[in-house]
Amino acid sequence: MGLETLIALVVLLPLAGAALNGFFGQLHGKRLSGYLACAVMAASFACAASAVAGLSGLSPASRSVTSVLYTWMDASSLRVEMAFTLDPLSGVMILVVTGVGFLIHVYSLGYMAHDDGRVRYFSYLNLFVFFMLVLVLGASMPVMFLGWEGVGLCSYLLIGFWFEDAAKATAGKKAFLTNRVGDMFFALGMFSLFWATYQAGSGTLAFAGLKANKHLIEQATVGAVPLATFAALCLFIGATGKSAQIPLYVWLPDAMAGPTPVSALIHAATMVTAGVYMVARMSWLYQMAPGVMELVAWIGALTALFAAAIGLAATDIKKVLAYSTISQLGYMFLGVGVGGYVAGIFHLVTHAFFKGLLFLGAGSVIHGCHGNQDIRKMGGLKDKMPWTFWTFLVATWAIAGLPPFAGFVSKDEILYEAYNSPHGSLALWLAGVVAAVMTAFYMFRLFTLTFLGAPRMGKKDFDHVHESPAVMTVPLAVLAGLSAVGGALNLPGGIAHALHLPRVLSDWLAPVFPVEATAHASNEWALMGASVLVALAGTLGALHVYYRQKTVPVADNARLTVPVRMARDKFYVDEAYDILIVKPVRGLGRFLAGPIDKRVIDRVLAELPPAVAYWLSARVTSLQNGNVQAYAVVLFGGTVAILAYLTLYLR
Amino acid sequence: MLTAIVFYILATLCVVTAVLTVTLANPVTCALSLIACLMCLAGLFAQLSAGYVAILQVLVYAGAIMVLFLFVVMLLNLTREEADEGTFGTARALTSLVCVAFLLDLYVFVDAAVGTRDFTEALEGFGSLAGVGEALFSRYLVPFEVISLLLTAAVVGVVAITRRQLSVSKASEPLKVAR
Amino acid sequence: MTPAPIHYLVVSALLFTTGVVGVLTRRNMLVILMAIELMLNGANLAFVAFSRMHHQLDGQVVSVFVMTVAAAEAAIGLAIVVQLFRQRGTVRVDETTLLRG
Repeated sequence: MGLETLIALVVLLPLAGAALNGFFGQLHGKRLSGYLACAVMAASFACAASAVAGLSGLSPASRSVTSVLYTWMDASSLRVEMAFTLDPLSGVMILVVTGVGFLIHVYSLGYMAHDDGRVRYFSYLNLFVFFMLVLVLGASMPVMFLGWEGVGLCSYLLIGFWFEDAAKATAGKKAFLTNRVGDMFFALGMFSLFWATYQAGSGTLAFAGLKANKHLIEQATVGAVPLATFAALCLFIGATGKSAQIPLYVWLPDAMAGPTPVSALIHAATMVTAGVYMVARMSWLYQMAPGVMELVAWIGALTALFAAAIGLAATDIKKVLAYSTISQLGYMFLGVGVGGYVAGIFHLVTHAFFKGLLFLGAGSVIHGCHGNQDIRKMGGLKDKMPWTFWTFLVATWAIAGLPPFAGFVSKDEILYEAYNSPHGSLALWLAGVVAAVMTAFYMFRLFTLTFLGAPRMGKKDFDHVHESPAVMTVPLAVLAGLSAVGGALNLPGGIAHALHLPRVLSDWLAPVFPVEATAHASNEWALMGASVLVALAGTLGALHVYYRQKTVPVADNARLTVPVRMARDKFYVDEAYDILIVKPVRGLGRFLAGPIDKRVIDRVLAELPPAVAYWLSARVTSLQNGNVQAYAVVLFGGTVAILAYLTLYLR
Repeated sequence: MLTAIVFYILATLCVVTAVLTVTLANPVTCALSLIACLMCLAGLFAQLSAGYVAILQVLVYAGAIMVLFLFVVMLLNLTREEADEGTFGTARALTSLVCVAFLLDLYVFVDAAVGTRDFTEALEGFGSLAGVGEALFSRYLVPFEVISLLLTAAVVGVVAITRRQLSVSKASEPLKVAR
Repeated sequence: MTPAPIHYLVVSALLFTTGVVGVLTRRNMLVILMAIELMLNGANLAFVAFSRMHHQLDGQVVSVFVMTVAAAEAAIGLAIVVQLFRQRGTVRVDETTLLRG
């Protein structure tokens, strides 16, 4: 099979699975639907792997293969192909999406075994993977946007999967609407790029074409602002929506209403990283807008700090992980914002491993505890769920940034870039380091409260806790393995140099990203040491507080200090948004619906035309009286008129 | 001179009887005045050296067609005819206006087409039975045959239309005479 | 003053228009059929007059055809009138405003 065919297969297999389950799922039964979904994912992963293998066989400069399916739009100056491009960057992404996606599908077999909506679930999940692949493989911005919107749709469908519960349906709506704000800016950015190239006579939206017309975009302006800055900013706002950054992060914690494997796949491993991927994909654009890059870095750093702070006080196991995800996404943006695109993508990959694992582990815990998600009521699960315990430990270890697991390597690289890159600064590095302390702290807090210590649930409940079936624990084990050794993908420069080992990911991605030599700095070991120290500090602090002193977070407001209470209440951001945005918009809506629509629109547009038509028709009706002679008179009159015209005309 | 006198007499009679045809209340008198009109027309045809057409006019029109008309009129034995023909309303005023305009139109056309042209001397045997017959069976052979088909179709059609459909009639109360 | 083509044509126009008036104003379907005959004859007169004017026989031949068509038309029309009278008991067009039998 040619590479083009493989690429098309990677994308289309999940779509076929979604269609088969969606349209015929009720026919072939609930049991089969899950296996079908897993099978297409396995096939898709196999295709992706062989496609990437095929790609690696090409010379580094020519590693970009485009598979054109058909012409999507053709409007003279705007021509968009339904085309997918496989290059090193999208190659990494499809491996993550199909690989982690496959594991999560398998896990779902066990997790959703008793749910009546399994067929629908697997259909949505396949559909999501399809759209995610369209997003990362899309050869042009509209195709990417198609995937971008598609994953948003699937996210909405899966968050509100149990839509009988009004709160869950509302969470889905919130995610959808918040994303819409970002999507609008994404579209604006896309249009402005097209406009810039169109002005110069070569309108295009393909990534390759845009990149080739870089100079046009550099020269164009929007008012007094360089167009590159404007477009980069719009696209980044789009990214903050999809990737849950300040100020549009509020939907992600609520998105935990969906089934836990969905949180793992969509809201941790893949979809939310789309923004990072997009910034990396458009790196050449961001290089032209250093101001926006700085903004990206700072938004990322602040989000990392802010979400970590909320994570310190959260008590719902999935909410902790959700804020942790936001925080880690902040890290990725910090990475790409300072020009460390490889570092950002690297963290994206390792994060997909360990955060996917954490969510799956959390799902396993919830599954074992029969739906309980409150870590204050857990504890002591270590012996009850050994597989979950050990894998969760690996993931926690990784995310906390303790060597030698994957999280340490990738996070360290981001911090290294934040300090050493020409776009970086000490302040950014410090923000990252503080966030790292908090990360280690809240993760070990979560881990300790869940698995260690004495059980805090009723004896009867505790007796019922059980380890999850193998279909769930095997994916956990695989992900744990990946979380442990994932760091080898891109060893820290110093170590790689010392051991004469290749930096696989950096070399692989080198053709994609603008070459900006971050000098091999001598401070690498010092920075690495600092990373290890802060991670250790956070870890030991958490263990001290929650393991040694056996502290359990309390719900009672009176016994909480003000900062903790604020963090627990998520710094009242939701409430502020409610007052500043939701309430005014609702009020406007009510105003438009009431006085404007009912009094004005209905009167003028809905009642007046029929009245006029009725009046006219009453006049006209008398003409249609069924009397043939009357018709004949009119007909003859018309003939005479034409004759008269002809006589006058011929004269 | 004699031709002119004959023409004016015939033309006047023709128009007057035509007007009577469309204005008289009783269909029988209408039919009779139409016969008179057609006779006068036959005279005009004869004046125009169309002897054969004139003969046909008398035989076919006045003889056959109008007899058919009279026959139907009497067969139906209409009683309440035209009693409430109505007043001269806006509809009829409009109709008259349209017709007057039409007449003016026609005059303008005819005047433009003919103007003051005069007839030249007719050729020997023009319009005779032999002449028209030759034209009918040579140049106009195909139309002539088609016309015969049309007549056959008409005959069949008349039979089909007037045949009483007993089954239908029984079901839907036939002969709802008068209300 | 010998009659010129224009005279015959004026008579023809008068006959035709009279027929039109009859068709448009009369309510009795029989009379309407008669008015149609008037119109046809008005046209016939024009044909014959032109035939004479141009020394061409075609006009006369056509007028023969018109007569034949008129015969067919009269036969069919009268058949319809008879049938209508059977169904509705009237031959007034203003009372037969519905197509439904």
